[in-house]
Order: sequence, then structure tokens, then C-alpha cells
Amino acid sequence: MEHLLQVEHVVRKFGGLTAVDDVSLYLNEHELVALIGPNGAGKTTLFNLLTGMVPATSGVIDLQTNKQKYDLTHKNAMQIADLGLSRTFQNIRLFKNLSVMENVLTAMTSKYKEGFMTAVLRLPSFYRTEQEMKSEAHQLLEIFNLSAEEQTLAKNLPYGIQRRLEIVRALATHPQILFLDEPAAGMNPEETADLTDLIKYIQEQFKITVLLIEHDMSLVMNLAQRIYVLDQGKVLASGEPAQIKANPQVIKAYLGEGAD
Amino acid sequence: MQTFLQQIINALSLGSIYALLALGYSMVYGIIKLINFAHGDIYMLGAFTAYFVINIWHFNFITALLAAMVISALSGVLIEYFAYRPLRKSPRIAVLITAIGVSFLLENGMSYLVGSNARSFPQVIAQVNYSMGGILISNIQILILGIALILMVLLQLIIKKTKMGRAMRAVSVDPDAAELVGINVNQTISFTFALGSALAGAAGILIGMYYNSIDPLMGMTPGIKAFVAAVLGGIGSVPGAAFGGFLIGILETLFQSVGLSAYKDAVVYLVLIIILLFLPAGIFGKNIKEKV
Repeated sequence: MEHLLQVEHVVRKFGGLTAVDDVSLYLNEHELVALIGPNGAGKTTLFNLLTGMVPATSGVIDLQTNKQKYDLTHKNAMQIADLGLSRTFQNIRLFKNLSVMENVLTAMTSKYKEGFMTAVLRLPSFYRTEQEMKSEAHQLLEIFNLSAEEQTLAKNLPYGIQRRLEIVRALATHPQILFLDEPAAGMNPEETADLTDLIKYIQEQFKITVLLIEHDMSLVMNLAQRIYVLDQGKVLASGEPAQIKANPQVIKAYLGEGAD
Repeated sequence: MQTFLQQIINALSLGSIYALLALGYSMVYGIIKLINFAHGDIYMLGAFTAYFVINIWHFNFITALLAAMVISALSGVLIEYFAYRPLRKSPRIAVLITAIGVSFLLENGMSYLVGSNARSFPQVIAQVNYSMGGILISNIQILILGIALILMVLLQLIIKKTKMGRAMRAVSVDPDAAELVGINVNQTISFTFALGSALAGAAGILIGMYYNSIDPLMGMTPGIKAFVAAVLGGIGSVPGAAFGGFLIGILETLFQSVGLSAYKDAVVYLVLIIILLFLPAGIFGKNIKEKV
């Protein structure tokens, strides 16, 4: 079977440091996969490679969609976003000075393309797309309980809600694959439990594939169908949650020598 | 009181010109964090475009204004494409020096092409002076203020209400994140240059009509003053730039009216120094606290 996303022998060097060292992994359609590992293992760098923010030093990233194969290795972030890969950030990167609604609309722009002249001349089709965008944005915000905050500037939202909005913004690009970078960072156990339900809901309702980086093991073990463990840029282990939990190498990487 | 009101009228005309220029500075800074020193020369290009289309093709005021704006917008886009875009990932100082280079290129290029002598700007609209309670207002002054205000309102509408405006604001906050949600960052930056340069072009034709004289170096001083205006208002802030422009215009005119014309430029630079010392973020600027 062809995988939706196939990453083969990807390497990324920063000067003398090899942040991602010969990583191969794959994602299937509608899968929920977790990427775990100690700090500095190269998880976020891998996300940056997959979303085109930094180019790979070597290796291949292939996306198989609509019965077509796309080589993402040499595509830029915008082209990759157009192909349906979307992400959130470890440190929230919303458009702070834009309202909640505008954050979502901005992310929809590329899905509602129209000619420049149409927009300038404000032809009827311009208003139509504008209306369609707004009504879709309303729906999205409603699903995620953000309707009341539509006009609030993103920077004035509480931390937890900013995190949620960042996920909504990523969904507004109509992704096939959603990358979540530590979505539960800074959340209390109750918020984390809510988030776990939310991610599950997104994956099922929007029929998308999710790859998430997370340190919160309760969330990872509850959600993930498969887990990749990254350590010092390499894939240390991969498999189902139960296998990973029992893997002595993983325990060693996380807890250090002699913890058992 | 009468003289004071008279000077305010003059100040508002000059201030509108600075405001139009300062808006371009501020928008470009907002989106790529570049002080575009060639901006004043775009204004000169606008003035010369108007000069030629009026003299050669006998354009009327409105069509000449549009021509000046279109040519300036195109120049701005081309300059960004050829001079700044290849340096997008370079240190900021490299782009800044390039901007100074582009400025020299435009000034000397135009001196070479059209000669460095000042030319008198054609009277596309005959000047009419109205006297109201001893205060003299010319139709040109009203036109300058009116056009400037209309353009500022249009700009505000574009920035706040259109998709492109939304994209501009998003890119100015976080270009990487904008690209990741599918925004064409290059196109957005080009559009910003087009908008800012069109405003500079409009300022160019308006100043030509006001002072009746244009030359290839006419952009230098107003360019720097508009930069001061943008800093004063808080660089990156659109209302700040408009406000700063009017403030600099008022300041300059007032100094001139009390007989200190020789110091009117010096006082603008003094304002820059004071602002940088005591209010580095400007009046409308965001006070950004570095988090460590």
C-alpha cells in the first residue's frame, strides 16, 4: 500500500550539527501518529522540514494524494500548504494584531482564489467568495466555541484559547495532514484532557491525518495509533503505544542510564 | 490669530505631502523591516511622470495623477523585485545600503536623462485664491488636502477590508506563519510596495503643483523628513505615519513663520533626535518589550 506521506533518509545539518539524521517515516490516511523524544531530539526541525520552512540537506519527502505523487523536498512553504499540509507552532504564532475572525480568513485566502482584477473591481463574484469564506469561518469558529470572540484581537485571548485558535487557523487551510507541535504545552491536566478530545474529534470529523509532537505521555498514549521516538536526530524506535512503553531503549533515552 | 490660522492652512498642505510619503515608509517598514531610502526618489519619479504626460500628451489633472501613481507603483514593484528581493534573507544592513544605492541610482539616472536643472511644473489647474476673513486659501491647497485625505481613507479601507490588506497585516506580524497558511508572501510584499509608491507618486504631482518646480534631487529632503514623520508617528503604524506627517508639516511651517526659515530643516532633525531619545517607539508605535 502507498503511504500518504513517505519520508526517506532525510538529513538536515546546521553547520556541524546534524539536527535530523537519516530519518525515515511514513503516515497513512486518517492516522493519528505521535512523535516523541527528549528536548533537542530534532522533532521541531523535522516539522520544519516537512512543512518547507527549512530545506532538507538530503533525503526525499513524498506526498501521495489524488492519485498523484508530489515530491515535497524542493517545494516552498506556500506550495506545501497548498498541497494540504498545515501546522501549529510550539510557541504560538498567531497573527497577533488581527482579530480571531481575520486569523481564520487569512488562512482561507489561498483556498478561495480569485483574480486580482476581480477583487479590485469588486465584481459580484468577489462578494460571493467573500461571503462564502465568512460563512465557512463562522462555522469553524462555532465548532470550536470561539464564536463569542470573533472580533477579539488574537493577542488579547487567554493562552489556552490562543492554542485552540492556532489549530482552527491550521484547519482553515483545508489540510489533509495536520502537524501539531506540542499542543498541550503549558496546559493543566483538565485542559489537556479537553485537548485530547478535541484532537480526536478533529481527526474523525475532518477526516485528516494528524502527526503530533508532545511531551505529555497521557495524551500521547491515549491518542496515538503509532508512535515514533526521536533521539539525537535519529529514529530510536517506532510502533504501537504498548510496544513503545515497553521498549528498554526508549526508557533509557527518557530516564537515563540505571533508571530501572 | 489671523497669521496663525494662515500658517495652519499652509502647514496642512505641506503636512499632507509628508503624510502621503510617510505612509509608504511606514508600510514598507512594517512588512519587510526596511527603511526604504529610495522612497523619496519614487516621489520625484511621480512628479516627473506628471510633468511629461501633462506637457507632451496634455493630460488633465486627474489622468496625470493616475499616471503618476501607476508609474510610481510600477517603479516601486520593480525596485523591490530586482534590488531587495534577492537580499530577503541577507542581514538587514545589506538591504539598507542597497536602498541608499537605489536612491543614488534614481537621482543620478534622472539627472542624466532629463538634466539636473529645475523645471517649472505646468499649471494643470489654474491657481485661484480665496480669501476668507483675511485668510488666503488657494484651490491647489484645498486640492492637496482633499486628495491626500481621500487617498488615506482608501488606503485604510484596503488595509482593513480587503483580502490583500489582511494578508499584508498577517505578513507584517509573521511572514513564515503567513506562508504556512498559504499566503503568497512575495505577492503581498509587491502589493505593499505598489501601494506605498503610488501614494508617493501622488505626493509628487501635488508638490509639483504647489511649488511649481521639480528637479531630480527634489526627493532627498522630503524623503528624509517623511522618514522622520514616520518615526515620530511610530514606524509601522499607518495612522501614526499620517499624524506624524501633519505634525512635521505644522512644525516646519511654524518655524518658518516666526522668521526662523533657515532652521526649519534643522528643527525637523532635532525632533528625530528627541523622539529617538525619549520615545523610540513613536507616538502610535507599539512598545515592544524584549522577552528573554
